[in-house]
Amino acid sequence: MSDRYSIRLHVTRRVLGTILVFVGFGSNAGNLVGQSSDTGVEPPIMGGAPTMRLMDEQQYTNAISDVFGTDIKNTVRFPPVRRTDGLVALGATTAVVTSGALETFEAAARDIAAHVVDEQHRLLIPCRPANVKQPDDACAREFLGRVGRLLYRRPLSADELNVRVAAAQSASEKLNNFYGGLQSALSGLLVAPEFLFLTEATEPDPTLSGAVRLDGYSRATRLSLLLWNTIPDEELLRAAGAGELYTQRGLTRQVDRLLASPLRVQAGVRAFFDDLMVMEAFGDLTKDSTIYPTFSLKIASDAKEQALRIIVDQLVTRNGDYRDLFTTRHIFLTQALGTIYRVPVQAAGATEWVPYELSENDPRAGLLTQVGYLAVNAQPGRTSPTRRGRSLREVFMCQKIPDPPPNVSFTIIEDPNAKYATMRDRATAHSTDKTCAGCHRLTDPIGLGFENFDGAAQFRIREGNAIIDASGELDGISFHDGKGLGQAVHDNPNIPPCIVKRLYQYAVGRNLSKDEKPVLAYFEQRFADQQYKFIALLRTLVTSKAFYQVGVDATDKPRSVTALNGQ
Amino acid sequence: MAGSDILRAGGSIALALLAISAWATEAPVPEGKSIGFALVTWAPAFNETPGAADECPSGMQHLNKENWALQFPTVEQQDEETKHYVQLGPDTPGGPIPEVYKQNRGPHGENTTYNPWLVKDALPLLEVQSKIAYGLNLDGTVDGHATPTSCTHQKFVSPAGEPGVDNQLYRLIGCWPGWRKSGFNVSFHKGQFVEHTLNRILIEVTGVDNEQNDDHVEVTIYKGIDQLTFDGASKPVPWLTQRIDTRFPQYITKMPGKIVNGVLEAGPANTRLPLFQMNAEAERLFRGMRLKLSLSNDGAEGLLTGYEDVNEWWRGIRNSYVEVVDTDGLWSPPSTYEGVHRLADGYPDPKTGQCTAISAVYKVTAVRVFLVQPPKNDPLLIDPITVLAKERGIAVR
Repeated sequence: MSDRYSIRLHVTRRVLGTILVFVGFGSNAGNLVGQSSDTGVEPPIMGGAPTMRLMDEQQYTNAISDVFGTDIKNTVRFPPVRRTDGLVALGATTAVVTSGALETFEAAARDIAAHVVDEQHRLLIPCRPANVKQPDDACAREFLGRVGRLLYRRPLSADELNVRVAAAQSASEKLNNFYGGLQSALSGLLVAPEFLFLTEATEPDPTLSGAVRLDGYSRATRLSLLLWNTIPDEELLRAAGAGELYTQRGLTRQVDRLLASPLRVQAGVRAFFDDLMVMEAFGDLTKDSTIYPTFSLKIASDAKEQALRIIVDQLVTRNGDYRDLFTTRHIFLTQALGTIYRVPVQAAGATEWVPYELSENDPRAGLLTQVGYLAVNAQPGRTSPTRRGRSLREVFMCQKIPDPPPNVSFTIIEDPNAKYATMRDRATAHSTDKTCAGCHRLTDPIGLGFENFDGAAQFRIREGNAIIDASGELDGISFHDGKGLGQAVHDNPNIPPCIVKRLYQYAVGRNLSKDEKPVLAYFEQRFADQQYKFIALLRTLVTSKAFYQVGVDATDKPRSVTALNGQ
Repeated sequence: MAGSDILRAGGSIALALLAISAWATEAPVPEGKSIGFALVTWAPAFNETPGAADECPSGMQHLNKENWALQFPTVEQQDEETKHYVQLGPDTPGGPIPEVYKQNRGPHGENTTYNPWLVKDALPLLEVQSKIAYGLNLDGTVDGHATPTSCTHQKFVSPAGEPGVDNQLYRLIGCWPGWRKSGFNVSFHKGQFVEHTLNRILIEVTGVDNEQNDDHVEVTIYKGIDQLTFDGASKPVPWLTQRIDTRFPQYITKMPGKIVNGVLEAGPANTRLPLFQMNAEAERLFRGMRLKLSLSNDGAEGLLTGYEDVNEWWRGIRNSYVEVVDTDGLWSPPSTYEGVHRLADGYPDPKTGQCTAISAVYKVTAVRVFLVQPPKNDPLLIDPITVLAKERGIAVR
């Protein structure tokens, strides 16, 4: 056993107080990364490279609100980011800011800065200039240093701060106005890459020679983005600066604090599921008004919000079993959604949300039988069992379904020929095409389970004159209707591991490597042990070593397994 | 006029609305055996022939300004009137004030829309001459002879050939362009009827065992308080939830009813309804109001008829159309006022014998809604003045 490995063992003893695990690992260095989680202890991993991602629109909005107050509004619209492996969070690592987008950011920055320094918001500036018509470097330094620390998610270096103060001074002189100069400097901070890009930094790992670790501020940012979907607050930055996030005690204290804020945690959970469930599709959700006249833009908007409310209610407010998302009868309605559900909604106005419990006899239960999932995974004028089935497999079961070939013919599906009385008949006919059958066998039997809900998610018993058959089977579990399918999803063993994997990918902002399988297994086991409570899963993740592990050495090269095991 | 064709052909109220989708949605049966509707259109039920040839052979209603010109026939008189009243009124940008001053036809310059009894129009009121009109037999007679609750009047025959139809309001205003299908009054009111919640009239049918045939149901009319929602084709969306406006118990009316072959028949009942029309608030007061509505999956359409109180009707018309008498409204208030009293056929005053109400028939359509009672703490229903008065121990009427 090498000296480096002995050091790691020593550090492990101090931090974890667990000797046996690493003694066991040390006897076979080649298995260091490939250990299972049978012992219930987190297996070590190499980790991946630190990331650099473009802040998304909601994070930007939250950051502005957190730093300057909710009175200061964000007006910038971010360009769409390509999804990578199904997540925007991963695509953000390859996002670019075009010159056009930069102009938009600059305009927003000027607008925000102008509001911050206006007379109504002077309280945001902790000092007063000696002469409002002249520069005041001391006051500018105080404000820019404080605000810059929050925006950059770390203290500004002396050079960085000097540059901003100088910019404020120069502008103040030209404008004969201190606040005008401050506005100019603040604008610069708001378009700086250090603000817009969430760039993770590393530092030498004092516990492992030649290795690096995420620095405290990067840890704080990862933590805050996941749990609150925003930049670290003052307290978290303080803890980062004091090195508290390197210790389990200090980390746990901050995690406890962050998780103790329900509204903030809701924001984090909403952001994750917004990404997971491809909710930007709601922005384009429209229906053929001649076929579904009731379906409006308001319903489309409410449908997205409803899905998120159901998720937050089940996973955060009730702290319930994640799998119960697919069977819950606790939903939320607005007056507009009430027209789809055909139930009275006693709301005080068009925008009020009302909790609603579906009756036991209601044909709906669970997230997958609500308007959002059903309508967004349908065509403008009809259902789409393929889209509904594909979405279920890819989003919740982590099963990739290939895209259709470019020259696929939908004639059978869209043929109003009465020979095919129902969508099931049409889908079956389409699937006889050998080029289509393979994928459709994976999607359609599931998607047809939702056929009692039309393209606008309205319940129906018939399609034309034919009674709809919504029965099917999901991985060996039979169901008779959409509600039964929800139960089959609930009971499917692929559901918990998939959400664990997705959450981990989202949290670290990258694809996973094979050597992370053991830690995924560990997370899955902890998830099961904790009755599949999502908040517990978040806690497990953010208090794990894996969450902060970076797999690069001091030269930014990925550490090889051989190299690690040889130390 | 597809709706009228259906009405005429069927001899009864039009049946179910056509399903728009090839896949008809099927809603669960409403709980509690009650069904609700919100009225979405309300217009006088006119039998309109091309060019009004049948009903208005002498042409459309004479205008106030025509009567004004006859009242002040010489150029000098007209100049004097114009100069006098234009001087009194403010100058409007772009020219003199509109011809509103031509309503000042009283002997001392009184406004004769507000004081129509002060002058007699030289030009006669052009009444409907047609024998055919929509409506029901309200007084039970075939020949319109006087009864304890009605005055002698002419009857109509329905487009389906049913005799004894009472629709004196049609006789009065059927040749008034504003009230015809594409007229200003109808067009303007069409939007206001659905947009303004003073016009939110809700109908609840309870005790429904079968929506096709049910001998005994109860119909309750309420004022609502909520906005409606419209689809991309500007049609109201069905199955919204509508709160009953419990602040106004005077607008609650209960009446017995029945459903025969999918047609709801209800009444008679005395009914007071709120009204917002041409930016003016008013009320409608019906005596012996009846409904005859053909029910469908998503709504209903048919007739609302009864004896409309003359004074309330006049007040609403006057306040609503005073500003547009000679422009968009196109009527002459003095002869209309005289006409509504002369043609009134219902509920004679026991002292004078003058009938106080006029038979009126309106075409209405409705969408299905869920009616709910508002929660006690619903902020929309808390009147701050009442709250303040109670706090200060002041009695509020």
